[in-house]
Amino acid sequence: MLEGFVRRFSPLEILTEAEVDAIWHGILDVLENVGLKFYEEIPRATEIFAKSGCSVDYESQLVKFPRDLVTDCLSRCPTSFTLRAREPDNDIVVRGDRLYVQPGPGNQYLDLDSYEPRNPTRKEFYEAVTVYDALPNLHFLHPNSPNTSFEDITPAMAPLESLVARLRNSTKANMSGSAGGDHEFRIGIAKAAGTNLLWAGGASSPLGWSGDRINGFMAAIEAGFPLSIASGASWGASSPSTIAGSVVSNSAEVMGPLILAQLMHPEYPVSVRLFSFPLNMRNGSLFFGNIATALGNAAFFQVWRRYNIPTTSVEPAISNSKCMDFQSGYEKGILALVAAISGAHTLWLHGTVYGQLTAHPVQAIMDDDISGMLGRFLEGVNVNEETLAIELIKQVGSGPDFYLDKEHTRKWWRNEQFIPIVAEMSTLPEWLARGKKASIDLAKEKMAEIIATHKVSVPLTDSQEEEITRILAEAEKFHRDRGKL
Amino acid sequence: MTSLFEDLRKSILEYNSEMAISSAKRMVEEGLDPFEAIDFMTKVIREVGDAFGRGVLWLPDLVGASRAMSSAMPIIEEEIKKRGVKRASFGTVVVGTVLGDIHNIGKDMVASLLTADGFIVKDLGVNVAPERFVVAVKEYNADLLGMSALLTMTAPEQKRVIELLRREKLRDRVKVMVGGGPITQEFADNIGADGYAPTAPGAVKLARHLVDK
Repeated sequence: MLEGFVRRFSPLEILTEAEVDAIWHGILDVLENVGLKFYEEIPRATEIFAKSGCSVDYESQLVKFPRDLVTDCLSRCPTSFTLRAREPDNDIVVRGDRLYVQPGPGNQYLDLDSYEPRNPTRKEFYEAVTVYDALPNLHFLHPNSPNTSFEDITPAMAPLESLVARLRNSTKANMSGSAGGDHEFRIGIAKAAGTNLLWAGGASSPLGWSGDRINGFMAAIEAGFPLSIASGASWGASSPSTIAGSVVSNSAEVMGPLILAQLMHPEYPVSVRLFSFPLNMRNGSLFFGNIATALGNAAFFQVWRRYNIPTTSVEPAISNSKCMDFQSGYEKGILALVAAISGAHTLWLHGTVYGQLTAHPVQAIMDDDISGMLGRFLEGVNVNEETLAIELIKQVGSGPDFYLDKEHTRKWWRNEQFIPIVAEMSTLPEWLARGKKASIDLAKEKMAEIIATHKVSVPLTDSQEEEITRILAEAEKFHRDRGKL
Repeated sequence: MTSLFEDLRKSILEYNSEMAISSAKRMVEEGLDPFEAIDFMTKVIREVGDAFGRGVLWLPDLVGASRAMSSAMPIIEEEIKKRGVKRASFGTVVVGTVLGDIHNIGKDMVASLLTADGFIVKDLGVNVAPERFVVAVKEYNADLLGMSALLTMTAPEQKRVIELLRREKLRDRVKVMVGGGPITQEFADNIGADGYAPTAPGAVKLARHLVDK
């Protein structure tokens, strides 16, 4: 099992208990009196809702949830779950004081010469997975990481082909979700590789869900895969423009699949995500990297902590900068730190440049230093007799003796400092002599080194490859029959 | 009469749909030329658009003003119909979100801004099958077709619609513009669209450009 980062202090609480009460009151009110809309017919799910006392309007596909049912389902949710990797050492157990970091989704590959998006080649995609596998502070993978697709595959097959690439070149745990009704193939591929998947799906805000997402969740529940349920709003467009109102609306949205899961299998493992951002009121796109998002997430985590349901922070991965620059660094760094100290259990960070539109492994290598910094910060300050070092302070006194040659220093300094991999740390003369390299140059060198030296520790076996190839062929037929290829 | 125009102007600048509707009704009752009302509203909305362009107003202002104008429009259009004349416009645009995709915000923004800019907009809603797009293009004799897709998985639907337009021999009669989160200029070029815009105000400029061609 991968330990992840351990938070050794109480999470940030930015709301009073009365404010948390008011938000929960709002969530329950919305679910009871407005309800959630399901956009396609999902007869199995609506039957389950109706049998459990929900009001179901079959014509409009609107389901209203009585408050007792909602609170009952919330109290049934487990506070932890295990995500299995191909190698048991990489299993993660999402729980209480742990934080696990994963990459963000990058629709396309960022061309480092032009800073324009393009499709990666198959080789680039597989190499990027290798980089992600090698990074020490990246704990599990994302369904659209490193990118959504690569050259020579169709959009319909991209989710499956990219999952296979991640399984081939990494033994880290995976996340997935459904699109276009392909859930059975994703589940089949994961099972063939001996893993489960953290099953992701997002709402169609405001207060709606597509049938495809719900069918995917139901298939994942039947397969026993834990769920990652996301809202999907933009503040001021598909949820209120206020942070508090958005936390209410977005929390109500994620309750749909959460309640369904508990009704299908009591104590079913779920986690929730606030996948929502303010609207950029200049151009109608999303305002990534905004500090308001950090506030929204801190509030969201605190609200959901009432039921100890695991939460995910997505916003640190999603910067507004179009290149690997100062803005990207401060947006990612600040949002990641706020999320980590606010009690997120999993956090998206690595690789992404400009929202979810592009990603590159060089960015992921630099982000791995941010991730390491989070891990060190969460460890907190270790105060005990040995770390207080009173006797040593007395021994060294006011000099000329010093600390550099002491056993205590040799024992402790590495625990106390964080040593980044690619942050520029040399003196000015050294920096000049080495060609004035910035961290991005060092990250490029690191990427070349990883690709030349890193090998996946446990390759897929021949029989696993054979089964996966068979499933891919079936999936191709499925999509071809539906005119998707 | 002046105060009627003043009220209409105020209703748009204060994003007040109810006031816009009542002003329009009063204009019709008093026998005002409906084309004059449309020209006036277009002039006011242009002022709003210019203020947006200068960075003085923001998207909620632009959409609020457009909505106020759009709510007055059916009353004026009804009057035009009664008088048996035809409304001049920049063109008719069919818009919708493609099959498998139920995201409407971006599409709605574009529809409202196009209406405000003087286009006649036929909004087919979300999860629109290719055949429905094609039928609507024929039925409304559309000058433009605008398709939205937010998901990577649904973006290829835009290509299917363009192919169907070709098969139905309608492709040369209608300009196609595409938009949405995963859409890029490269994607638009590859699927044979006539244009792509990354933002709603950009889509309006693009629409004007395409109908001017």
